[in-house]
Amino acid sequence: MTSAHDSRTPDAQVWRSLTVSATKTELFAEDLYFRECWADVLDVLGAAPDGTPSAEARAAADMLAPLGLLSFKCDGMAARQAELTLRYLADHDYSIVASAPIRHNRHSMRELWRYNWHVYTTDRLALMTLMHSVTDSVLLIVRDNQYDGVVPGSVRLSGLKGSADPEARGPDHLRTLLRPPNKIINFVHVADEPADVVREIGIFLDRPERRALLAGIGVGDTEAAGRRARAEVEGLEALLPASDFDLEAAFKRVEPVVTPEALTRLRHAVDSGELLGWDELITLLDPAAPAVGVWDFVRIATEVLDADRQASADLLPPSSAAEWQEAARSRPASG
Amino acid sequence: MVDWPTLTRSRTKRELYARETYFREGLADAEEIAGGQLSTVLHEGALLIVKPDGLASGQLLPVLDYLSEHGFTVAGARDLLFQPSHWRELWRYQLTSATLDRLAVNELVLGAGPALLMLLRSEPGHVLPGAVRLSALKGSATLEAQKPGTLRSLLGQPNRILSYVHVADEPADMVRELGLLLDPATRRALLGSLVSGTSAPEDEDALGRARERFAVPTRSLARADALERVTRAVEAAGSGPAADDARSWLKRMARNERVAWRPFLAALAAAGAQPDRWDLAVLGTYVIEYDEPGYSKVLTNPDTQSWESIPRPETSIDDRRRENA
Repeated sequence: MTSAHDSRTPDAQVWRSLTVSATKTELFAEDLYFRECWADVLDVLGAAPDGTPSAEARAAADMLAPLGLLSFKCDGMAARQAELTLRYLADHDYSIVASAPIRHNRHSMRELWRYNWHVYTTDRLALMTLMHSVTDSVLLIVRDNQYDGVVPGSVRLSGLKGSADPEARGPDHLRTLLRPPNKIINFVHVADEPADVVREIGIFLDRPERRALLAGIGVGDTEAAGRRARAEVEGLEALLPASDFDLEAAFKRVEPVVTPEALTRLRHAVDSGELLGWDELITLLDPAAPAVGVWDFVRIATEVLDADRQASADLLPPSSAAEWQEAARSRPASG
Repeated sequence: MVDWPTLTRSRTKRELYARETYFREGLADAEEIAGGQLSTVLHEGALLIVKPDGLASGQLLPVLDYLSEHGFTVAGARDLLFQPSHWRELWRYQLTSATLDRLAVNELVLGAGPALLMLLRSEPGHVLPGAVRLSALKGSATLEAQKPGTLRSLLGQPNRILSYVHVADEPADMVRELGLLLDPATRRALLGSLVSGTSAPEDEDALGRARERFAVPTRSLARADALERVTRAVEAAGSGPAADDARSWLKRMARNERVAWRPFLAALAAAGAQPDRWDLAVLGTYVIEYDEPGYSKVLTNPDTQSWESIPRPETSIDDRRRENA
C-alpha cells in the first residue's frame, strides 16, 4: 500500500547525484517546492525494473542528470534574444526535451532567487517585481548530448551561461554572446544543479503543468519538443513589444513625456554615478504612465538605483564542473 | 539599523528574517509609514487572519467579540485569497514537518474561499507586544495542548488543520506577513490606518461585507457530512477499477483509519468523480497523517516570558494622537 508518509525522500546516494553542496542538501530536504516536485518526478520518471523505492529514485536521478533548465527573463524576450539562445544551445550540443509557458509573480521570483536576493536593497526588489512579472515567458528543459556521466547537464550549462558580471565572463559564454547592457538586465536564467532543476520546476509550474512537463521529458522526443518551444517563443515575440535596451535611445524616447527638470536630474544621476531611491525615481519617471515604455524605465533605473546592500555573498553559490569531477573521484564505487 | 529586540526574541528568526525579502520589504514600509512611531506600531500592532474554514463555519463574529473583550480594535481589514505560494511562504519554517498529504489538503482548504486579514491595535498598558499577547491568547493548534479561555478552545476547532484563525506570533512576523500577503500599496494603506487610528473606507467595506456574508455558517465542516457527500460523488461517477479503488479508500476513512491522501485523489480523478471542493477539503483534514516523522519545525513560537523583560515604549499611539490633536 502506498504510504501517507513521504518515504521517498532522496537517500544519501541520490542526493550526491542531485547536488555537491551539503548546505543545499540540508536546505532542500525541507524545501516544500523541492519535496513536492521530487514526489512528482518519482511518479512520472521513476520507472525501474525491480520497482523498489531506491531503484526508482536512482532511475529518476539518472533521467535528470543530463538535463538543464533555462528560462527566458522578460527582458530577454523583449530584447529578442531567444533565437540566439536557442542557436547557442544547439551549437553546444543541447537538445530541447520539453518547454512550458511561464509567468512570474511577486512570490515566485522571490522563491526562485531566495538564496541570492538577500543582497538586494528593497528598492531593487521593487524594480525586480516590475521587470520579472511584466510579461509571459518560456521555460526550456534541455538535454546535454555530451553528458559524460559525471558533470550534470545543468552544471555544464550553468558554466556556459557565464557570470552576470561582465568582467568574470569569457568570450564563449552565453551572456557574452547576448551582450546584456549591465549586470541587472541579463536576459536568461539557468538552474545550477539537478536539485535546482527539480525545485525550480516546482516553483514555476502548478502540479498538473509540471507533471505534463515531466511526462514530456519521459517521452524525450527532442524534434517535436524543439518545434513546440520555437513556436511558443515566436508566438510570444509576436505579441510582446521589443526593446533595444540602449540607454541613449531610452532617454530620447522618454524625453517628450517627462519634465525638463526630471530629465536633467536623471541624466545627472547617470553621468555622476549618484544613486537614487525608488520613490524618487518613480516620481521623476513613472513606469505606470502609459507614455513611458517599461523597458526604457528599466534601462534607466538599472543605471541609477541603489541596487546592492552589504550582506554575505551568495547563500548557495553555483557548483563547478571541477567540483563534480572531484566528487566522482573521491566517491567509493557504487553498485 | 534594525532594532531586533522590538521585533523578535528568537535568535534563529532574527538570522532567517535578516536576509528575507518579505520581512525586509515589510519593515521598510513600516519604517517609512510610521516614522518616529515605529516602536509604538510594533508594540501595539497585531495581525489576525480568519482563514477560509473560519469564515465558512461562522467564526468571524465570535472572533471579533473575543478581540474586543481582550482590548484589540480593528485598524484595517482586507479580503485575502490565498494563493499556493502565499501559504507555503507564510508557514515556510513550520511546514518543514508536514507530510505532502498535509500540503495537498492545505491547498484544498486555503483555496476553497476567501479569508479576512485584520491588522489590529492593542489597548495600551500591556508589557507584552500586541502580537505576542494575541498569540498567547490564541492558544495552540494542537487540540490536546489548548488551555481553557484561549481563542481556539473557545471556537472549538475540530482538528489541527481546521484551525479557523492564524495569528502573527511576534512583531517581526506581523511585519513579514504584511510584506508577504499584501501588495505594497495595500500594506502601506493598512499601516497608515494603524498609525492614524482611522480606518479607510476600504477597511470598513471589507469588514462589513465579511460580517454580513459570514454572519452564520455557510458550510458544514463535519466529518460525517463530508464523507457522505464525497461517497455520493464517487457513486455518481459509476463503476470501474478506479471507482472501486476510491470506494475502498472511503471505507477505510469510515473506519477512522488514516489514509494516503494523494493516491486517493488520483483514484478520484481516474474514476472521474468530482466531489465538491469544500467536501473534499474537509474530509482530508480528518483522515491524513499530519507530520513527517523525523522532521521538525525550523521556527517555533517563542515563550511569552522571553518578552516580559522588554521595556515598553514610553507613549502609546493614542497618547501620540492626543498630543498631535
